[in-house]
Amino acid sequence: MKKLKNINIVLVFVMLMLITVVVPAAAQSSAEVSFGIRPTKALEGEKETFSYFSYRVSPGSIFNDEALVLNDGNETVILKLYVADGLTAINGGTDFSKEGEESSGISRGTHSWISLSETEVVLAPGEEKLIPFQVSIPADASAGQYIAGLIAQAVPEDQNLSSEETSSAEGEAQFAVKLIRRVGVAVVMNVPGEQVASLNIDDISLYRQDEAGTTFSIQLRNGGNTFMQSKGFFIVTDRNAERIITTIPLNFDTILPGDKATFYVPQAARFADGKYLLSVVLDYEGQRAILEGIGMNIKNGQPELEGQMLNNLFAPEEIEVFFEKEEKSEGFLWTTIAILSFILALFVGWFVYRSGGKKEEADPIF
Amino acid sequence: MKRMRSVWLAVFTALIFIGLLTTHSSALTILTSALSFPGVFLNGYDQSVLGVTSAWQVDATSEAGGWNAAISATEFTNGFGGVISVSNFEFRLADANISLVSGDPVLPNSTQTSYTPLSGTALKFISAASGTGDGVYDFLPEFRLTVPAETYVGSYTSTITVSVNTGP
Repeated sequence: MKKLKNINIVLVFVMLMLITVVVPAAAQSSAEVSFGIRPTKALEGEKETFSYFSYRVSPGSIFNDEALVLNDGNETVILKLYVADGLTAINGGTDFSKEGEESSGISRGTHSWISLSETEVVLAPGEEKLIPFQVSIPADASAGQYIAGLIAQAVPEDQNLSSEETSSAEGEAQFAVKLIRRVGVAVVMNVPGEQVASLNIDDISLYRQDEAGTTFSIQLRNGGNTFMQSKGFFIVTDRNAERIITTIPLNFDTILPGDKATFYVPQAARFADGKYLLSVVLDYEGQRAILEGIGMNIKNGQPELEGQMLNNLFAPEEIEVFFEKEEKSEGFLWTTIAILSFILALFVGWFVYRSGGKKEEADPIF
Repeated sequence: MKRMRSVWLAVFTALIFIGLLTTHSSALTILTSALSFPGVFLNGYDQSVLGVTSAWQVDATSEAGGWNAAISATEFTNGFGGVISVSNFEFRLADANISLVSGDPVLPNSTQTSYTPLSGTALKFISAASGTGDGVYDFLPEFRLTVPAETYVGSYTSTITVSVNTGP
């Protein structure tokens, strides 16, 4: 009886695992063209290398590696392969330049540091291919974190997203959209030396106010030589900075070294007519970036920005309070989760004890 | 005998585990669906039309290091000098339009929930932080095109680039 029970447990376990394998495979099988590119090996203790390439390199060094390109769709696919400079997307995060273009940060030109052994592959459904590549770090590369990307792009590169692509009826305009679909995997090259962390808030602007609410845009610049993420607050006060009208938590994704990036900050509410001050406070690498006192005047629902009206709006201890409040609320959330987990564990333990604990003797083997 | 059975069960379970790891070794990919805009009868006024598309999909199975997807676009041109600025071509992805197909139930986030103009610079619109987003997710993006009053009759074409990336 006990043996049967154990076998049943194993069978249930196996079934669950099979489900986790079969469901994604079934989901994927509906796809027509599906392809990817990724590293073939990961380094111990560096979990990011499961997802992308990351090396500690010396100026002038040359080394080889390989990427795996695969077609996990159900159609043969022709893939164009190329190397691109790393860049920061709007809203942050790593993206890569288009073929033949360069980025503007310190990763500009890094596409020329890597040479791929092949620039086009044809893969049958389920087929994979190893693509060797060589990385050559320039002898004069200064300290910093550089990013290039290995790109796999479908060829023909446009999947026609047709509008009604017939000839135009009289007085009519018609629209078609073509698509370039690509997958990029980062190649991070860390050149050792002094690590400089520097983040500047260059500008705050009102991007839009309509029936859906208000969207601000914030321009940031990573003046250092390391990847930068930041957290903080967008603060709206009255014109005299006596009353805080709203604070919006900010959690900004990576900006690559030397890059400028725009982040959109949506706010569901519209602002009533009046005069306001806008400020942004960010925390990065234990340092603070602040831009405060940007005037915003809304008249008849039409907002306009008036440049910096006031400086030193918030004392350092006041800014600290914002971050402490946020930390407290995060702490409360985790405490609640811990308490609920504990109660759940107690309940499960009680249930197991009640349902099976006193039925049979222990099996000497199982 | 009992011990042997236990050993076989353990071996069987381990093999299933190995199989699970092997079959899950896929790569990050994005699948898109056709997008179309209705034709617009030009009446001398600005007009907005919504794009029609069905669900797109990101397969980020086994992708635990974080990922994002970004979109950029070119202007609409008709080949005869007629141009509609790319700033009239807007995009958004509501969080409610992201759903789980399989894998990590913590959904990736939309980073562009309100309409914003596309441009030649990539706009990140969905992302999963490191340690999350290991799964297959459907999402339904929304597109809007404002056709200016002064637009000429003709067939206009734009090209969008959609990238799905891994990186820091």
